[in-house]
Amino acid sequence: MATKLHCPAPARLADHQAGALSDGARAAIQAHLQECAACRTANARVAAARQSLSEIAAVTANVQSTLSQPRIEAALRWSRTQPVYVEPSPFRWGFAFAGLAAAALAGFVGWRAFHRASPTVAPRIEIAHADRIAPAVAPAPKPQMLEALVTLVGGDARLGRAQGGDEKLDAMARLGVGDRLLTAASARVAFQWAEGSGALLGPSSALHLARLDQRAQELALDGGELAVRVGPHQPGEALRVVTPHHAIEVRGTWFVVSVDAHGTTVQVLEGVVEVAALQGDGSSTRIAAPQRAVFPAGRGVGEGARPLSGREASALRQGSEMGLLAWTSLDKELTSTGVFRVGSAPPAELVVDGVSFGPTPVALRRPLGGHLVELTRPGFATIRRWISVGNEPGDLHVAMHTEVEQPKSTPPTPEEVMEVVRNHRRQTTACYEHSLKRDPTLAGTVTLEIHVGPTGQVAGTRIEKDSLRDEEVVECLRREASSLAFAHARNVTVVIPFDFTANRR
Amino acid sequence: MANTDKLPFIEGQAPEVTALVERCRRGDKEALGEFYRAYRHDVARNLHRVLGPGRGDLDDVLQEVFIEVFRSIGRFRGDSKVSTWLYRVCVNVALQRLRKRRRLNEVTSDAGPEVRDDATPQRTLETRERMAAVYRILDELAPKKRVVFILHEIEGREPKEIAGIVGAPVLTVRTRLHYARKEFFARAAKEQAFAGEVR
Repeated sequence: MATKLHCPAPARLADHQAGALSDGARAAIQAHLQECAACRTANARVAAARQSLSEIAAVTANVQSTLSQPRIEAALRWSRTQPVYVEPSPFRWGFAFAGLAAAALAGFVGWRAFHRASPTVAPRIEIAHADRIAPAVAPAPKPQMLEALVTLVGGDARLGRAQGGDEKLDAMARLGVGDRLLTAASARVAFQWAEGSGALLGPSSALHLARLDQRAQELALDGGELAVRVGPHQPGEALRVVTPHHAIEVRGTWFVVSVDAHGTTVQVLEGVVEVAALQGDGSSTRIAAPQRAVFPAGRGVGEGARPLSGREASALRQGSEMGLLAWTSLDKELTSTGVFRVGSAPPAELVVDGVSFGPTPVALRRPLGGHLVELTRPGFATIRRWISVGNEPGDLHVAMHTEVEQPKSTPPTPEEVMEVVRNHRRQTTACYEHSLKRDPTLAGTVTLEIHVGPTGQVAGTRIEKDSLRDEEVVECLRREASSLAFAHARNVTVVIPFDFTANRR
Repeated sequence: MANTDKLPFIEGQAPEVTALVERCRRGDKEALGEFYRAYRHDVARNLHRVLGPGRGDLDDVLQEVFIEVFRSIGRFRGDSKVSTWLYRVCVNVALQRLRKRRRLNEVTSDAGPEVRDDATPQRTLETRERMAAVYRILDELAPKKRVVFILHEIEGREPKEIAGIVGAPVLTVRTRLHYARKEFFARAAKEQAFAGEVR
């Protein structure tokens, strides 16, 4: 009976190996396998595949995320994730429908009673974030004044206080209404005043914090460039950037404004801004992300926006990254963050936790704890240091070194060893198989110490360990090993164990 | 506005996990950080199994999973264990990534998964080659069949549990599994990597 069985499908062989078949089916397959060499081969391969599947489960049990907490936090800020979403429960929907039906019925009865057009009955919907840009809202009777925290100072920047006085801007400074910031060429300053809300003042720029309270903020940019990120605002809250010619008003967005004598340029990376002319016809227009628009001074704002290319938007994002902190309140930020200064000779690009902060020297405010600092400059070796930010300001000053030639001794990577073994597997297997014909029980491990010379060729070999105890195999292995060549390893000793076991399948 | 609905009691789920999720739903940013730290290795492991090695995009997908988790945790009503819900999100994101790979016809590197350090290079090499062969075959399967196959054959989950994860009827899962196994083992029976001479 069994010999009449057609070759079973490989999936059925897998079931057979897993013991998932009935006794009769199992017996039939076993009988067929004894007679069919092709099916025995298929059966062995299916068994090997099943073994690999179980090995994958074991191997991947140790897989760990290398993603750093700062990076995921940065990504979440970047994506503007809103973790809270209120979905009405079925009961609420039930009440809502019941209410709607009752309202509709009441409206209908009212129409019948008064014989006039019925009012439209609709549920009242509260929209958390209006899709249109409302004009600046009058502040609450007692506006809560805000203070901004300086989070980055790169290069020379001056701070003019509202109450008078002019001082060099320090990374420990706090900014208030009326303060003025002035940056030198190649300098920049970032500050933050709320969750998701902050600004980065570019080089050769002048900014006046005209208004900074809970309900509304107004940043007057007299010259230069300003990148602004604004977190979600409640209805009635507003932020404006005023240039001498235009007013740019936003809610929940990220944009860059630059101004010179000729006019104002607005580039929007996220959300929508509304630009109003302060001179001329006083017209206004909206610019949605990702777009760029140039508005000449003294004229109205016509339709002139053009889309930003992916490359432009990417460069703009990188250039206007201000490293916003997870913000709860100013007091909490002062206790949960610290300032550190990074300098290098010569100046290099600073990257902290994967976020670029421009050229050094930079004073930066970051959360307390460990951060990965990277300094890069073309032609110089990249420097990576883990630093720990504490309550007291810290300093990191490093000297950049030009990239040097490969050191004299270069160890191979595991991949390179793997590659060498892979290329000579047939020969090493032949060494073993030759002796296996003589002794079918031959098994064990031979560990070879291989000295790699200055050109990557093997300069010598030594047996470090031998549990196989077969002179012929060992000599054959040494002979084969002496012809190995490494692509990158130089002047180093490599220890490679060769494991030999007869296939029992 | 915070979500004030309490999560129902789920048998087999630790109260501290429920409390953590409730804090996340209320928008507590520190809780979101705790949630990430608590589950990142589980999610990385699951993604690694589904997507396979040698792509270098594990961290990106992992990030996508958590962004999606934090975006939708407010909609989590607690009708399943957090781990099951998280696995569902994980599988959905992985499916999107697999479809993108097929669309772009991405090519994997030859590298198999990392294997344990105590194996010899020769043994390691063979194991890696066989595992790479597994994922080469899996790359030929349709993403939905691939996911069901991995959940069953690698993770040992039953069709009923898989149905809960992938959001499909049990019968559909059984059908996908049947065809996935048929295709996988048919290819495996012809794969040279599974025909090692010396082990």
